[in-house]
Amino acid sequence: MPGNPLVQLEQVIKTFPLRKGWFEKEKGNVHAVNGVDLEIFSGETLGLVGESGCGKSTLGSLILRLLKVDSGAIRLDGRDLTELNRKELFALRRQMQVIFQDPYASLNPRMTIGETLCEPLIIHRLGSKQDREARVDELLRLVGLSPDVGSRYPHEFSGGQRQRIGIARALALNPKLIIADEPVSSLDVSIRGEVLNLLMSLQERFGLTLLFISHDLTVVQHVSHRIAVMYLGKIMEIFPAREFGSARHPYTHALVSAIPIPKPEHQKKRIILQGDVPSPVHLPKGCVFHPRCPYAEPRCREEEPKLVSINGGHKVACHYIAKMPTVAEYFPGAST
Amino acid sequence: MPILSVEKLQTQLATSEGLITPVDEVSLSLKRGETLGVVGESGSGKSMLALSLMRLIPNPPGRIVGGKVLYRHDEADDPIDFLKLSDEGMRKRRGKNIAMIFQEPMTSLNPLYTIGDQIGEALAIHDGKDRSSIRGRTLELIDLVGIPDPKHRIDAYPHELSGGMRQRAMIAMALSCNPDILIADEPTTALDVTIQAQILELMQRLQRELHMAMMFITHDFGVVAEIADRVMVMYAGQVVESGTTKEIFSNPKHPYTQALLSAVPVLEVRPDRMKLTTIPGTVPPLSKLPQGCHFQDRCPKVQQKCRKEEVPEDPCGIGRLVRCFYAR
Repeated sequence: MPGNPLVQLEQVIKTFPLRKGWFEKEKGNVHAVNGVDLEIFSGETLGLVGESGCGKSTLGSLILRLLKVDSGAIRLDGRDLTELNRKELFALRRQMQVIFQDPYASLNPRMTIGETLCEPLIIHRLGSKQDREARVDELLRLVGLSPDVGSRYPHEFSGGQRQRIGIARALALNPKLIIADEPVSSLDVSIRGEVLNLLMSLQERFGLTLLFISHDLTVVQHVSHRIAVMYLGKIMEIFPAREFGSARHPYTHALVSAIPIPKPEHQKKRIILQGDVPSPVHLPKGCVFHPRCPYAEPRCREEEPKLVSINGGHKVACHYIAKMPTVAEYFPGAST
Repeated sequence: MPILSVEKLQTQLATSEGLITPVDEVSLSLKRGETLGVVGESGSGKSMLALSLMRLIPNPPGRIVGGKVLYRHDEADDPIDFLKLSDEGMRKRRGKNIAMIFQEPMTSLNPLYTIGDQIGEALAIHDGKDRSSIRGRTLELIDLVGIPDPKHRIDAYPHELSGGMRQRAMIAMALSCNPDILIADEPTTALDVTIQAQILELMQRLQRELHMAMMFITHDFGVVAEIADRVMVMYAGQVVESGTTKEIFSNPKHPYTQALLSAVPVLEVRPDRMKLTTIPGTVPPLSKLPQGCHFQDRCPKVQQKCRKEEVPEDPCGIGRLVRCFYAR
């Protein structure tokens, strides 16, 4: 694994109060992130995959400290982010940046591209006016746009170009960590590849650490070094992307088998999960996946499995993991 | 004998940038029990095609300017051209002969009515039944689409249901009057993959049981491979290639189809991260289409001829629609 852990999460918990009615009485809690331990190593891309409502975006916001944890620790370079005061946090924010999903909503329509890219430099009082202008030109070139576009407005650009601008903005302060939250989900297939390739090549060039959040396991598997699978606020499995075939959590299986494969001749066994994801307000007892798990046993309803290492960097949270087939065994089409 | 045959359908929209043609002489046919997959990126005209078939193009700014949409319930019947029907006449066909499911169930369901009311609405309009038999049939439909506990859910409002359940309710609405033709416009795009798998399975089962013709619009080649018998690939308002699912996937002829198929990431075990194959450039806006082939600026095989002449449906004589002068 490349480098040391840049980010470490320890037993991170985040709940949101659920308010209802005229007087907004608290009617329970939404358990968004539910005891997550995670490390992101320097220079790697960690793919965080899960369905909507699993808490993956909340986890990203917690690392950026856009949200505060209820309990647990988040360390960046060994410093606990949850304990910093405003001033310390301001300095540290330079090291972490974010790329958002919707390139239409995340750029200010009243600011030119140049102003947008310059803003982080002004906020952090970096360089003279000339330095900043030069930096903006450089950033635009880095993401494959011509420096002349700096005077134009977001509406003049296509979705793919806007996402390039979003990447340039994230790079402006030379961060160590970039959190990309569904960066290509709103883009067409033919545009998606270019943005992902750009992200990968910039990462290698600047040694960036990337947390890549997505609901799309196929995309995650393409760009990540390691993959963490999240379900109802918990990490169910973490594995190196190259060992995708040996992934063996039943939820990972279900995700893999639900993905339609663009090969019509390809016949596969499919596990179709019954029902919907349970409400994060009333978490199931025991293993959170047990109500939908085809292999659930009585123990799964009572006792919560811990995330344990089964082989080096491969960790799984399942009581009966020894009995589970691997993705490759179960789904031969995945390994070509 | 096709139940629906569309001939050179053309729809135009008046925009601030001038008149555009999002559906440009599209022809297709659909048989009972068959699924036609329509694939394309955003702006390819696939949703406008669906709305044109339903005659739901808002006018103004839109107008169907040419072509035929011929429907034939039985082989013995004379075909009916939907485009020639009066508004009233078309209203009687919608829901009964041809029905549609939309992408976003939350915005296409009325939040003020229970799902039971909305599923029963078409029954009341088309069959004019009394209230108790409408309720009975609505319960059957809710059960048919796999919503658990129909007696309770029939009185639920859309916001009380999950995304997957809402899409099931939409399907029940579309099926309420036993349509012969079902048009599904990206019905699973807003859903999670595990829920998408449930809905695709449901739609395939219902199509078999009810022996419908289905047109399934999607941008996802994976979904097409699973659900379609034949595929039509659209680009900038035109059909650029069509064929059986097998032909399209194992032997794509049009450079756009080829490029798109190789750009789709596939889930597989690989030793390391890999660059994705890309298609240079972007889809041209319909108001600024180049003369000749619409794909010319992104095409690796482009020649002088592509920039001058409109491309006919099968210039290379392949025996199916491949809109390219240099398809091999």
